[in-house]
Amino acid sequence: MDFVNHFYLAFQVALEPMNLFLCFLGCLVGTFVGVLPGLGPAASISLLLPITFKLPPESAIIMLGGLYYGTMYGGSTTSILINVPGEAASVVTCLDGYRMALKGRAGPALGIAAFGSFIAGTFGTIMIMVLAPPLSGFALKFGPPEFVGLVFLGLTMVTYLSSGSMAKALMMAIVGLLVSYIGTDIVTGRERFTLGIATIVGGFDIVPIAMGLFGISEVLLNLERSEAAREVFQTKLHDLFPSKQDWKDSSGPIARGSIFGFLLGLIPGGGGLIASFISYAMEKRIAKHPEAFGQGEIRGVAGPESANNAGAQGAFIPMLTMGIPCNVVLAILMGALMIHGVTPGPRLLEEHPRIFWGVVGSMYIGNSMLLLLNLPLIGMWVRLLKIPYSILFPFIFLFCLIGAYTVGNNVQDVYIMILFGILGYLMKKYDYEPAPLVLAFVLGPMFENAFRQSLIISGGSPLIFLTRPIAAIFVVISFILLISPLALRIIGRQRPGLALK
Amino acid sequence: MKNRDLVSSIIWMALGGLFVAGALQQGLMRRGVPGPGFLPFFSGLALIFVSVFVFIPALSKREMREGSNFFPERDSFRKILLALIALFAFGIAMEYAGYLLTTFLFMFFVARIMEPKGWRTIAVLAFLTAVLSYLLFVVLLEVQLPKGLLGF
Repeated sequence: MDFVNHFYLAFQVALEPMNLFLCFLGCLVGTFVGVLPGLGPAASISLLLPITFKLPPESAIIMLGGLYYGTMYGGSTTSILINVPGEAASVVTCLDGYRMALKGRAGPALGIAAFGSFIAGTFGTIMIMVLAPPLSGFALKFGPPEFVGLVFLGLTMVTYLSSGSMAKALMMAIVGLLVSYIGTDIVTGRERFTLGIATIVGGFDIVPIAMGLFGISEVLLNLERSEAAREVFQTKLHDLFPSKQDWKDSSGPIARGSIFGFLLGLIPGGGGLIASFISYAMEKRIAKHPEAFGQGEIRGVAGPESANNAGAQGAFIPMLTMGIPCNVVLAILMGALMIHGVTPGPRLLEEHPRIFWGVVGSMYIGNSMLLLLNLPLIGMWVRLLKIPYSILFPFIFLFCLIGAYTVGNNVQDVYIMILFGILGYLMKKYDYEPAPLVLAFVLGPMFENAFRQSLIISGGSPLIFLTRPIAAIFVVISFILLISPLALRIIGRQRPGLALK
Repeated sequence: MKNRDLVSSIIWMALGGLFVAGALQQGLMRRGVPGPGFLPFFSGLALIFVSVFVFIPALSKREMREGSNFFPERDSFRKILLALIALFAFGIAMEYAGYLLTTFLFMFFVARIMEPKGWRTIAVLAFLTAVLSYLLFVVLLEVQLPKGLLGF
């Protein structure tokens, strides 16, 4: 009965004309940005964040959610047509998608990517409706020590699953924590590490940091190279609908991709990227003709595309029910909700049912919209690829500048954004990923608060993290993950994140 | 710049050290429970500790990496520098010259410096951008942007 009520509420909120329109807008802009190479979902969400400040929180997150799935869709289109992944999670789609396009089967490749994503996305949404209420209930029992353990585990997972050096990812997570300490101490009200700069007495805002690290730095990196002419695949797109044989080949990969993708999405650091890689590897392993993979095999498109979307959907659960963002996009979404005065976590479902169920409802609608939006408009998206970067990047800059300014109507935030842009640029040059930094920055204040509350409860004894069973499990798993790269090196194997490279 | 890991790990260690020093001034404990400096102190220490794992391997591989030029093209540094100057100038100018004028100038210069071609097209584009973005943000979305001395 509850399920029916929730379903009703979900659609009631999502179908309000304003929200419907914003969801559409989010999907449209998301696909647009996803198609353009160089800007990933994190950058596009931080770019559009300021537009949502005037909106009610549920509308804001509905629009940003649409944007998130939109970039995922758009990313696969460019993978298939020009062999350039619009964002990281569609890298695998290039392998067989582009091959299919070369063989004149661009239509079915795009079609199966869209249908697979739709099916997986819908599956993910249904799972959220089923799983979120009990998980919220479970998370409500968490006290400060459990929360500390959970955040610790989350950050460890993110660094463990990162595709580069784990030490560097860990360093970035610590830097994110350090940046989050800057400002007024919540417990004592003392100013810390502000160097007397008035703007940051209240701490840094997520918007200038995210825009700098993902928007400005991306543009700077692209500016360095003079533009190579992009080769847009010249073909008549026909038969977007996959044939019966295509469906027969793809149904298994889509089903497996949906389930595994969803499960991987639940793990911090998992999400779409790893889901798509694992799905590809799995399909290749169980295929009757593994040698066909890499030569334009439709299974190699259907599986990863479904997994990536299901993963993107699944990643919402830890954020909405426990307040733990699993990837950087959700960290920025969470920052956006907090700007609106809403803190995601176990109480969200009780205190803001409209937000929670509105988001779920908009996922159904967003997924359907993307299907309707993408198939007929593919020709238009392809033409977009011909816009030269020299026209594009001043606009990205301008959006960042306006966005950073409007957070607090303060030009200092603009300077902070530019500085983080330079930092992000240098970090990429030196092989450091910005994602763990942003995640840790968002989690930092909650982590510190819970940590200090825990020690107040225990009278200063850190053993509290080991004597409470749930907290202890989280902490022990975290330490195993932290030590394991050394152990794995000794026995001569690789950690999963590294294998992605 | 022979080894980027070496340089970067030293910088991160220094950052960790700064936080450790700052945290000590804040006080680690207060009445038997952690004070404002407690977590920053241990986070700073952790950063130094983990940096060592990047620093030590970097010591042993001193050779140049492939494509280890910091800037990929001869022109790169000029472009980056000009872009950064334009960004900072936007922040400074906006409060005096107002959003519309600053945006027009910013768009014009940025587009022209990077890809110097027909200035007329760029001027029209910059003008349209300034006006349309003003309509979008200020009129439609009611965002407060600086009006500047001229009142717009």
